[in-house]
Amino acid sequence: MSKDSREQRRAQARAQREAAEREAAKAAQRRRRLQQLGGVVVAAVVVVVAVVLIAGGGGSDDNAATDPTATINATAEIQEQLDGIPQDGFTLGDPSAPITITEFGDLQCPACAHFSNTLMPRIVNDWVRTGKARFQYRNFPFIGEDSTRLAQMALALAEQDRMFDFIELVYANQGAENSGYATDDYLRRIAGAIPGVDVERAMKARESDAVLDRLREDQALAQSNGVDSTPTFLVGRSGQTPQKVDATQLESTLAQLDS
Amino acid sequence: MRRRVAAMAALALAGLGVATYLTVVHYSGGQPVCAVGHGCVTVQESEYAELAGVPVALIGLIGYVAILASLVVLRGETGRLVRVAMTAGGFAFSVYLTYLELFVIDAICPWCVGSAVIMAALLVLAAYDFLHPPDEA
Repeated sequence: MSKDSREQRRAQARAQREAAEREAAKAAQRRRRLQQLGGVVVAAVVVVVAVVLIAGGGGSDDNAATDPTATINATAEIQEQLDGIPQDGFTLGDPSAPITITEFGDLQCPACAHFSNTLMPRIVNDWVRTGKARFQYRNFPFIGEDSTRLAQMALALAEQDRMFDFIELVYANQGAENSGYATDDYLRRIAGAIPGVDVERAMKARESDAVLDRLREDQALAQSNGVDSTPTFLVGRSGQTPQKVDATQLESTLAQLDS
Repeated sequence: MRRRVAAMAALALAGLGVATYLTVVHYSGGQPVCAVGHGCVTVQESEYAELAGVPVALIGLIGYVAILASLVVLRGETGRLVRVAMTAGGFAFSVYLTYLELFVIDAICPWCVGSAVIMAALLVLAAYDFLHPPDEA
C-alpha cells in the first residue's frame, strides 16, 4: 500500500467525520429551534389565557339575566328618562304630537338594546318630552323563544301603561340571545323594579287574548311594512305616509320632518 | 428569501384591513340591525366584543400593526422569534374568540373568522420562517 493512498483514505475519513459533525450540529440546532419555538408558543398562549382570565372575558357578574341575585341595572336612569311623560299602552308621549315614531323591536335583539342605551335618551328628551313626537313600540319578536316571552310581558305591562319602563329595563339588562334567560323569575324581577306595577296581574295577562291579539297585530304591521330587521322605524307626520328608516337615519329624518 | 416576508406582510395587511373595518363599525355603531342570518352585529354588540373595555377589534388592529412593524423593523433571529410569539398569541386569542362565537354567543361573524384564518396562516409562516431561517450568512 502506498503512502499516497493511505493519506487519501485518512483525508476521506476526516471529511466523513466532519460531515457527520456538521450534520449533528445541524440536527442539534434544529432541535434547539424546535424547543425555542415550543417555548415561545406556550409562553404566548399562557399570556393570552392570563389576560383573558384577568380581564374577565366579558364576565357578566352583575347582569340580572345570568345572576338571579343581581340588582337590576339602570332603574334610576330609566325612571328619570321617562318621568312625567304620559304612557298609554304602546305609546309614549303626547298622543296628539304632530310626528309619530314607530319602532319595531325584538327585546332580545342586541342592536335594539344598543339603540335604547345610546340614542333613545336623546330621542325622548329632544322629541317626545318636548311634544314634537310620540313614540310607539311594536313588538317584532323573531330571534327566538325568549323574544316572544319578553314581548308578551311587555304587552301585558302595556295594559298598566308601564310598557316603556319594562322595555328600557330589559334592554339595559339584556341576556345572551336564546340562552333561556327570560324566565318567569327574570320577568318578575324586571317588572318588580318598576314603581306602581302589579307584577302578578301582568304575569297572568301574558297569555290573555288581548295580549296575544296585540302581538299578532304588531307582527302583521311589521310584515305589511316589510320590516325584516330590528330596530326598524317608521317616521312620519300625521296623515302622511311614514318613511321606513334605521337607527342611524332616525335623527336626521326627524329633523327633516320638523323643518 | 424575501418571498416569505412579502407573504407575511400581505397577510398582515389583509388582517389589518379586517380589523380596521370592525373597529370602525364598533365605534360608529353603524348599521346596528338585527336581521336573520347576520351574525356580525350579534357578535359586535355582545358583551364579549370588548375585553376590559377595549374592543377586541381594536386589539386585533394593534396586533396586525405590531406584526407589520416587526417585519419592517426587526431583522434576523430576534424578529423571527418575536413574530412567532406575536402570531401564537394572536392565534390563541382568535381561538378563544371563535370558541365564544360558536358556543357562547351562538353567532358567527365571517369577518372574525377571516381574521382567525389569516392569523393561523401567519403563525404557520412565522414558525416556518423560524425553523428554516434563510441562509445564515
